Amino acid sequence: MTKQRPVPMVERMSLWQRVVHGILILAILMLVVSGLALVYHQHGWAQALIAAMGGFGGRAVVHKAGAALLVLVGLSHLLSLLVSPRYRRDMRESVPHLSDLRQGWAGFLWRMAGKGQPPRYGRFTPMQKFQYWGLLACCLLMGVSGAVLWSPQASVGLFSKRFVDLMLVVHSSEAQVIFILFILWHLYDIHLAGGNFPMNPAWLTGKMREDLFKAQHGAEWDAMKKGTKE
Amino acid sequence: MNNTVHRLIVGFALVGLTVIGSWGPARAAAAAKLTSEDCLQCHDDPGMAASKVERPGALGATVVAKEGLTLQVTKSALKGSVHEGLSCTDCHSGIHELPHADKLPLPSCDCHSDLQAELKESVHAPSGPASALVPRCADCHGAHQIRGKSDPASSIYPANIPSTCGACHGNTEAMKALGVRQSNPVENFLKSDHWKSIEGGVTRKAATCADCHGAHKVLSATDPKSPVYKTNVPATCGKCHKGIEVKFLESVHGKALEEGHMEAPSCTDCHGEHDIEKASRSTSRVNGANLATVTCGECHSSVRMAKRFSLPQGMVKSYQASFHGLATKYGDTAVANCGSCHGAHDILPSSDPKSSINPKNLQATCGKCHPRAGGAFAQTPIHLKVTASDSPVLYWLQRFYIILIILTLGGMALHNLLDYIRHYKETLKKLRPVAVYLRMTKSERIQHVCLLTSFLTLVVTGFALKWPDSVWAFPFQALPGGFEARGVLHRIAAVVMVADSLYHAAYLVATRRGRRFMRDMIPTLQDVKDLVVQIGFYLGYRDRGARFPRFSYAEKAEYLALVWGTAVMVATGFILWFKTFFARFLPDWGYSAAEMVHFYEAGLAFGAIVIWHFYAVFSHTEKAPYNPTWITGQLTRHEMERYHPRELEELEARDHDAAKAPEKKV
Repeated sequence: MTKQRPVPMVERMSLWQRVVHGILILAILMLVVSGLALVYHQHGWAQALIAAMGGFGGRAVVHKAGAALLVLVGLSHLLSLLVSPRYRRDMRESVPHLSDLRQGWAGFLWRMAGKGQPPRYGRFTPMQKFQYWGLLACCLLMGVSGAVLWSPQASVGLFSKRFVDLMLVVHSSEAQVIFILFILWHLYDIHLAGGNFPMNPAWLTGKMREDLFKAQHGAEWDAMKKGTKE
Repeated sequence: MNNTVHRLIVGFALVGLTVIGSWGPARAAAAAKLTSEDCLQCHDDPGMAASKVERPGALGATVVAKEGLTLQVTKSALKGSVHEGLSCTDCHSGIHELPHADKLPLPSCDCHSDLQAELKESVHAPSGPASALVPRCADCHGAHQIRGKSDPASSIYPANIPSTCGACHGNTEAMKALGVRQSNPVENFLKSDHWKSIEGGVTRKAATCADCHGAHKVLSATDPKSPVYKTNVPATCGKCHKGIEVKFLESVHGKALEEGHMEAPSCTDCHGEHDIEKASRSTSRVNGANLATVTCGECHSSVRMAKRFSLPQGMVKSYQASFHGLATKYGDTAVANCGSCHGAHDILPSSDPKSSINPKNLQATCGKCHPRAGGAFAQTPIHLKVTASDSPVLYWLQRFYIILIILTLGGMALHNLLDYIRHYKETLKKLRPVAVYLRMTKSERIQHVCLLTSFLTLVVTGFALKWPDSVWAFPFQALPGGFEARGVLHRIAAVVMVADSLYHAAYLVATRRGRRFMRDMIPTLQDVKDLVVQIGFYLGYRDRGARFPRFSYAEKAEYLALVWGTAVMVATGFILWFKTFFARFLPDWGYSAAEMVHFYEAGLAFGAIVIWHFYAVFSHTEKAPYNPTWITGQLTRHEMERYHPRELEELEARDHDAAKAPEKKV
C-alpha cells in the first residue's frame, strides 16, 4: 500500500459546537433508548433495555436525566447565540430562504433525472435547515407534552385524564417521528450521502474533506475563496 | 384400574378381617366374663412380639400402621389413651371363652354410633367397590393409643392432621388409580399460610384438612352438601374469617354466586385452595403484582366471559399497558393494582353508588395515592383504550401519526435512494478511465445471481415458517394462500439452488476457467501465513497487511463453507420434503434431527452471509458502501492492488513474459 498524502480539510464545527453536539447525542440517545423501551415494552429487546437501566424506576430516571440534559443543551444554545458571533453567523446562515426551495427542487431534479448540475449549496443545505428547524419545533412539542407527563402527582391536579392521555399519545408518536425523520435521516447524511462513507468526521475533528466540502457546499466554498467569508 | 381394584379386594378378602397368630398352647375356657388380666396372661409375653397384626389397610402408612401393632400387648397399652380404663373385650368383642378363635373381627367402635352414621354418608363410607381401601376408625385415630384432639400426641391434633390425612392423600398416584382427582393437596397445604402459622406455633386454630372438609362426613367438592362445594365455600371460610364473608356476599361476585352463576368466583378461586398464602407474599395469588396477570386476569381477560355477562373488554390489557401496570410488572409495589381501585372482597359495579369506582367516588379513590387529584381528572375513562369508539380524538391522532411516519419514512427512503443512485453514477463516471480487470465472467455472474436469489428466497420463506408472526413474514400470513405459496416458493428456490450447484460443479470440471477456479480455491499453507500477517496488521503489530492472491483466506473459507452448507441443507431439505420415503430408511429420530439441522444450519448460513460476505463485498471496495462487481464483473486496478496484489503481480508477469501489451483488460 502506498502512503497517502494528507487530505486537505476544511473547518466545519468549533470545539464548543462539537462538545454541545456530543452532549445532544448523549441526551437524545438516553431519551430514545429509555422512551422507546417503554413504548415497545412488550418486546424482548425493550424488556432487556429496561432491565439494563435498572428496572422500571431506573428507566424513568434515565429518561428524565436525558430530558434535563436536552433542556440544558437548549439553554446553552440560546446563551451561545447571545455571546458568540460565530453562532449568530451560523444562525443567519440557517434562516430559511426562498432560494432553498429553488435549490431543493433543482437538487431533486438532478437526483431524479440527472438534469442540470448538482446545486451549489451554502453553509447549510436546504435539508440541513429543514432538519434544524424541524428538530427544534419537535423538541418544543416534546418538551410541553413531556412536562405534563413528568409528574403524575402534579398533572392529576391540573388536567383531565383525557388531556394527560392526549399528551401521552403525542409524546410517544412524536418521538417516533423524530427518530425516523431526524435521527435516521441525519445519520444517512453523515454516513452515506455525497461520498461521506464511512463517515463525515466533522462532529469529532471539526473538519471535513475539502473535496467533499466543495461538492456539498459549493456556494460557501466560492464565498470563502473570494475572501468574503473565513 | 378396575383390575387392580378387583385384585386388591380379593387379596384383602383372603386376609380377611382376621388376626393371625402363632400362638401355641390352647387354654381351657373360662366360663366367667373375661377380664383384661386374662388376656394379658398370654398377650403380655415378649414372645408374642414377633407376630405382627395384619389388618385391612387403607392406601398408605396410616396412623394404626405406624403404631406397629404386634400380638404382644402390655399392661400399659392404653395408658394416656382416651380409652384408658376400658377392658380388652369392650372393643375386641365376640370373645367368650379361651382360647379364642384364630380370626377375630375388627373392633366395631359401636359406642360412637353418631360418628359412624356420619362416616356412612361420607366418601370414606365402608361400602362400594373400593371399600377395602377406605380408612377405618383406627387408620386415623390409632388402635390402643387413641388421644383427644387437644393432645399434641394425638393423630387428630391440628399440627398432626396433615400427616394423618396425608398417609393416603399424599400419594397422588395411588389416589389417581382409585379415580380420585386431586393435585397434591397435602404437599400444597404445607406451603400455605394456614400451615405455616400452625407449624410456626402462631396458633393451633388455623384451618387444617378437617376444618374445611369436615372430619367424619367428608364429601366430594362436587357434592352440593359439601362444605367445600363452590357456593358453600364463603360460609366455610367465614367460620374463621368472620365479616369478610358478609362483605363478599354483598359484592358483585358474591351476588352472582348466590344467583347460581358458577362462573363467579368464590373464595378459593382467587385465594387458591390448599396453598393459600397471605397477600403480602409475592407468590400469593392475591398479591398485588399477580392480580392482573393471574387472579383477576384469568376471568376478566376472557372473551367468553365478557360476552356472556356483557363485561367491558380489554380492561386487563389496558391496565397492563398503563404506567400502573408496567410499574407493577417491574416490581413496584406502591402503584395501583386491580384491587387498589376496585377493592377486594367488596367489589361493586361502577353503577352502584357505594362502589369505589362510581364516578362520584373516583376522586376519593384516586386520591388515596394522588391527593391532589382534581374532580376533572377522573371524569374521563380511566382504562385508556385507543379505539375509534372509546376515544376518537386519540384514535385519529394516532392514525395521523402512523400515516405521517409511513409517509416521511417512505419519502425519505425514496429521496435517499435517488440521492444515492445519483452519487453512485457520478462516482462511476470518475472511475471509468481506470484500467479494469475481469473478476467474474458472465457465466459466473449468472451463477451468482441464481445463488443469491434462491438463497434469499429460501431464507425468507424458511424463517417465515419458524417466526410466522414477524413483520417480514406478513405476506405469507395475511394474503390468501400465502402460507401455501410459502412452501411452494421454498421448494422452487431449493430446486433452483440445486440446479445452480450442479451447473457449478459441471463448470468446475468441464471448463478451463472452472478448473483454474478450483485450483485457486484450494487452501494452502500460504493462507495460514496470510491470516497470521493480517491479524498482526489488524492489531497494529505490522505496518502492512497480507498480499492476497486471487482468493484470500477469507474468500476460500467462505466458499468452502458455502459448499458444505449447501450439501447439508440439500440433504436435510430432501429428507423434510420426501419424509414418507425417507422414513423407511431413517431411525425414528431421523426426521426431527433433519429438521433441527436444517434450521440451525440455515441460521449459520444466513449469519455467515451477513457478517462475513456482506461485510467483505460492501466495504472492500473504493466504491463502498456499494460494490457493483457482482453485476459488472470488474475490479479497478486500485482494487486489484489493494485486495489481490499477488494475483496482479502474476497477471503482469505473465503478460510481460508473453510481451503482449493489452493485458487482461476487458
